[in-house]
Amino acid sequence: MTGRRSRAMNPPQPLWRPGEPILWLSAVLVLYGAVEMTSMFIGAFREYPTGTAFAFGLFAIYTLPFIWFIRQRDLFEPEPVPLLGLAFIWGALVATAGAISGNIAIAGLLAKTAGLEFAAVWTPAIAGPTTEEVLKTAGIIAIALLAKGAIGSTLDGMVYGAMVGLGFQIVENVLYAINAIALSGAEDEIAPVVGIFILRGLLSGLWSHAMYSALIGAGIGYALSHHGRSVARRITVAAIAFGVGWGLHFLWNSPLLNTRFGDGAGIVLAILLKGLLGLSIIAVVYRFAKASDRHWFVQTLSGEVDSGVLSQGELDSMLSVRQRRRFRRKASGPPRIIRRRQRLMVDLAGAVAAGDHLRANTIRRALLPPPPDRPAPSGAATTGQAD
Amino acid sequence: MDFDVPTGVGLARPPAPRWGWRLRWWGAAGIAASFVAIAVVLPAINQAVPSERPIAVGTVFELEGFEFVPAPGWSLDIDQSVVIGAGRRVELSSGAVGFRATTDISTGEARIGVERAAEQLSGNEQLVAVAEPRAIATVSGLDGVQRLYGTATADVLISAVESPGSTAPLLILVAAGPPGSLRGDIELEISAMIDSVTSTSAAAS
Repeated sequence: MTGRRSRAMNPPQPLWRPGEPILWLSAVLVLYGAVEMTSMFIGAFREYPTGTAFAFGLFAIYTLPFIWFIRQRDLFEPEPVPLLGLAFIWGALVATAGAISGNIAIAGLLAKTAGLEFAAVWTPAIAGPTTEEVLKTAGIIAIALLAKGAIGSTLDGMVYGAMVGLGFQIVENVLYAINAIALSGAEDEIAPVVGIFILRGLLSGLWSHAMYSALIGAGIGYALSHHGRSVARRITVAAIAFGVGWGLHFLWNSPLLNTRFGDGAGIVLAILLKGLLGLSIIAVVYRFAKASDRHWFVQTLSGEVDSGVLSQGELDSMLSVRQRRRFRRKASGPPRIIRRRQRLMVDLAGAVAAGDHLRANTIRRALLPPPPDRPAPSGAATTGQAD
Repeated sequence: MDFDVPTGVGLARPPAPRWGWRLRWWGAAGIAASFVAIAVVLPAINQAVPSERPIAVGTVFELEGFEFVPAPGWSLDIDQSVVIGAGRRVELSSGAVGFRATTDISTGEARIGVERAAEQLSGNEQLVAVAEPRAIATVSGLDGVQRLYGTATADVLISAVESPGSTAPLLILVAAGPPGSLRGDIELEISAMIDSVTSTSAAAS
């Protein structure tokens, strides 16, 4: 495995680098998206103030567990919050604003070339993935260009992809909710929003844009981090990942399978089949991506075990969310302190890998009170600071 | 206290290749190009392709539980007939007169449907009703309500046809054109299209 470790030598660069063309391009596109979407939402607030506010509130709350889940998966090198926020904003403003006009155009072109009936059935499947996945992918690449080193592994790409997709998914759901209010006659502004929340938030939210973009992000992460592989191979992997993300989005939006198993329960079965296919694929990709990051993490911190800063048991406990929780429960110290040590270990891995000796030594000093499952190394206990 | 630097893998690896300014410019250019292609070029191409299509003889338009037969000589305006995410709509044109058919699931009452359609059409400019609502019935026996509105620049005839028991209980038909244009042959053709409305959901049940 010659692959990803070189990312460690390149910690994310600061966002503010005025000489970078991508900085100004991103600023222009975010501004454009903000103006477009704001004007759309202002109109909705005027027409349906209660329903629009309710939709925003409901989907804002809905976003929180998704963000928590995504960050939980990012075990070994948490991404900077500003970059995650930017990824979300790109999906929410830039990708949505661009996709709206692009989708309408493709719908028109399909209707003119293939007929209204064909367009009515296939426009969502063809236009949706084509414009939306391209624009969301542009956001992942923009993050990579904005802060070189930010996407240093397959898992990093998945995390940023998921955030871009989540931003898109939330704004799209709010737009659908407003649309539903308009279609229902707006006599009751709450019920249509709840309907969309159940349909698009709960029934299809797990296998929606966040999942497609996470898959595509994994491909970009692989291409950017596996420097030991040939360029052709890295581009091929990224292209396949894009194809899979596009294909899952196409399948979800298409009428394929929808009536294969009949009405009622049959439709639910079709929805589950389509969704679970995507979830299975992303679970496998995540497993590989996490294994790669875990390998890097263990190798990076193995020297710390040898020098007595960490215990082997402590390092082993860091390899999954469950193991971390279990360790916090069973360790002799207060869970708050153990949690802090776990955070410091993650920071230490980043500092060691980045070659930031000063920061690494500071973290080592903070870590030095004896790990809960072994005695302190000689001479260390007198100088270490836990809090 | 000082530490010996552990020989962690991170330190042992070579640095990632730096991206040269060409790559960074090409990357930004690629992102800009993809956005422009989708948000600007595609709509421009769509605008450039003519939207009006002649309607083949024997065509029947179906909208969520309703069917209607277009009058001979009318064209289909494809751009206006395609709606993303808000149900289906068919818009026909004959000269300066447009005829739009949409469904409305808000209420089963035709009179309310007509008023709602007028509200939606008027936007900030209020449509003025120039005649009282009147009851209509299609050849197949569906009931409805019709009302004529006007502005300084247009006449608007809004009809709502009911389909009891359907999930899309109203078909809203809007004919609009310059003042005085909804008369004579055009009026007869519009009436014929409204008369031809049938309920497919009623037929199915």
